[in-house]
Amino acid sequence: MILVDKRYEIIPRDFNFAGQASSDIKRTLKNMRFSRDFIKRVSVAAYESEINIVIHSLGGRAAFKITEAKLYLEFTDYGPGIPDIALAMTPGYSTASEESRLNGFGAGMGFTNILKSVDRFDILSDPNGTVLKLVFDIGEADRDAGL
Amino acid sequence: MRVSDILSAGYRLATRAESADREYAGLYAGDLLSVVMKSAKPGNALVTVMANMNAIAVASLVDLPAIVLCEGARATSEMIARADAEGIALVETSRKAVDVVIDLDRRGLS
Repeated sequence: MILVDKRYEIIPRDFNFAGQASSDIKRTLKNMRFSRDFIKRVSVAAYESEINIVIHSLGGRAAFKITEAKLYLEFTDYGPGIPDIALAMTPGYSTASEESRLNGFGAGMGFTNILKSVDRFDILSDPNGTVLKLVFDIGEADRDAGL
Repeated sequence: MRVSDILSAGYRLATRAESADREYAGLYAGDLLSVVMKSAKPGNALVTVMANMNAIAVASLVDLPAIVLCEGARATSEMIARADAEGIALVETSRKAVDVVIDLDRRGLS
C-alpha cells in the first residue's frame, strides 16, 4: 500500500526557493510521527540531493513515496550529467560555483552525507541527466508513535 | 538555556520577541551547510556568518532552534519572515564566530 506519493519541481540556481521539497518531506514525516532520527536521516539526504540539483543542474524534479516498509526518494534532473561519479562522491571534492559557495554550499560533502543516511543508493548519469534513487528501510524503531 | 540568555550588549534579536523564549542546548559553529548538517546536534544554536535562506532551511531540517549571525551579517526581511514561520530565533552580532563561542562559554551558555 502506498501511504504517500508526492512530486516536486526543483528550480536551478534559485537559492531562495531551494529546500522547499525537503521541507515538505520533513513536514510530512513529522505529521506521520516517524522517529526524530529517521526524520533527520531522510531530511539530510533529501536536502543534499535537492541542493545538488539547484547548484549543478539545468533543473529537475523529485518524487517521494512511502509504503509500509520503505521510503523512496527519486531525484531526476535534465543534465548536464556528472562526468566522473566516483570523483563527485569523494569527500571534499566540489565543482560548486562561487555563487554556490557564498550560499554555504560546495563543501564537497553532499554525497557523503547522502550515503551515510540511506539504506540503498543508486545513481545513473549521462549528459541528458542524472537519476538518483534513495531507499530507506522503515523499521519498528523508526515509527515513533505508529503510523 | 534560552535565546534570551544570549541577548546582552552586542547581540540583537532580529526575529519576533517571543523567539527569545526558544530553548537551545549547546552551540555549533560553522558556515559550510553540509558540514553543519553532518555535525550539528538537534537543539544546538548555530553560530555562523551565513545570512541567507539556506541557513534557515538547514536549521529547520536538523532542528536548530537559533542562529547567531556573526561579523555583522544581517538577516534579510525574507529570512526573518521564514525564521518566524519556522519558530527559529535569529540573533545578530558584530562579534566574530570564535568570539561569540568564547563569550557564550564564559557566560555558561555553551
